[in-house]
Amino acid sequence: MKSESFLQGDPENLPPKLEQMKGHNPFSAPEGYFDQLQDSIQSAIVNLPDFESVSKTQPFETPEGYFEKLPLAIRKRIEAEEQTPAWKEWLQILLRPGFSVAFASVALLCILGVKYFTREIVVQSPQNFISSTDLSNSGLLSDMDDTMLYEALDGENSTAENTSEDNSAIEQYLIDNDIDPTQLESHL
Amino acid sequence: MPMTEYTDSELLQQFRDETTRHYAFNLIVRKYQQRIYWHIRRIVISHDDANDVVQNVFIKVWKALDGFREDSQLYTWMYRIATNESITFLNQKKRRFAIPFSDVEHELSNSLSNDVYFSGDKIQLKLQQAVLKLPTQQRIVFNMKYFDGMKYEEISAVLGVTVGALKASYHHAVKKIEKYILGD
Repeated sequence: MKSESFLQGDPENLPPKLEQMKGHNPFSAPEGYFDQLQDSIQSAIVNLPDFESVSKTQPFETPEGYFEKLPLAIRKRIEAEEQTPAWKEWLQILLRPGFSVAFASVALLCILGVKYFTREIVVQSPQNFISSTDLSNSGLLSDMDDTMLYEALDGENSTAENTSEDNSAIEQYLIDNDIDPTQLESHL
Repeated sequence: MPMTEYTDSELLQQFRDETTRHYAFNLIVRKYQQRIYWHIRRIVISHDDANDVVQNVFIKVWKALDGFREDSQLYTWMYRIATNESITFLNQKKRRFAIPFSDVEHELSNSLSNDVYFSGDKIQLKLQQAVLKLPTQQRIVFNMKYFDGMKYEEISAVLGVTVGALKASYHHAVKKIEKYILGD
C-alpha cells in the first residue's frame, strides 16, 4: 500500500529508506587517484594514434617502376586474350567448377532423356499364342479331321461351360451345312 | 614531355574510333591505373594479388567499354568493376583453401607484417589490422571514405547503396576501429 501511495504521489518524495541512503557513495578510489588523473589523461591524449597523419601516408608500396610497366602488361594480356580462339574461351568457362557440374548434370539429363524416348517398346505376345500363318504353315489343320475338331470342341465344353452353347451351335452349323472343317484352314 | 590530359568523354570518343582505339585505351589505363590499383590493394592487401586483379579489371574494361553508355562516370564504373573483382577474388581464395571468409581476413592481417611492400609503422599496421577486422562491405566503405577521400554520393554510385546506409556503415566502422586501436 505504501509503494502504491509513493507511485501515485510526488515523485520527488522518496520512500524514507531511500531518502536516508541518498547522497551516500558506497564506492571509493585509490589514495591520490584524482591528483594523478589529470596527468594520466594528458599522457593518453599525447599517445593517441594520429589518424590524420596516418590517413595521409601510404603504408603500401609497389615494386620499382610498377606503374610504368603495368599498361604494357595489360596490353600483352589483351593481345593474348584476342588470339585465343572463341571455342577455347568457351571451354575454359565450361571447365570452371560451377559450370562443369551444371554442364555434366544437363548432359546426363539429356542422355537419359534421349535413351528414354528412343527406347524400343516390345509388346510380348502370350506364350501360347499361335498366329494364323504359323497355324497354316504347321500343317496341323490339314492333319485334323472333323472328329478331332468335335473332340476338341467337346474338351472346350468340359473346361469352359459358359461357351458350351456357342460350341453346340457351331457344331450344329457345321453338320447342317455339310462344311468340312479342313476348309476352314484356307479361311483362317 | 607531359601527356595531354583528355577528358573521359574525349577518351571514350577516341576508343570508339577503330584507328585510335588502342591509343585511347592506353591513356585510360595510364589515367586510372593508380586509383584502381590502390583501391584493389587495400581490399586484397598483397601486391601480387592486387596485380592479378588490376590486370583482370582492365581486361574486363577493354571488353565492356564498347557497351559503356556514359550513364555513370567512367571512373565510377571502373571502381565498381574493381570492387566486384576484388570481392570475387577473396571469395575464390576462401573456396580454394576451404576456409571461412573471416579467416581470409585474419590471414591477410597476418600477412601484412611479413609483406615486403608494406612499410607502415606500428600505428599504421594496427590501423590496417583494425580495418581487416571489419565485414568486407564495411571495410570497402571505410577505405573509400577514409583513405580515398571519396564523397558519400560517389561511393553510393559505385556500390549501389544509399547515402544513409553508407553513413551508418562508416560510423560503425569508425567506432569499431577506434575500439580496436584504443583497446590495448
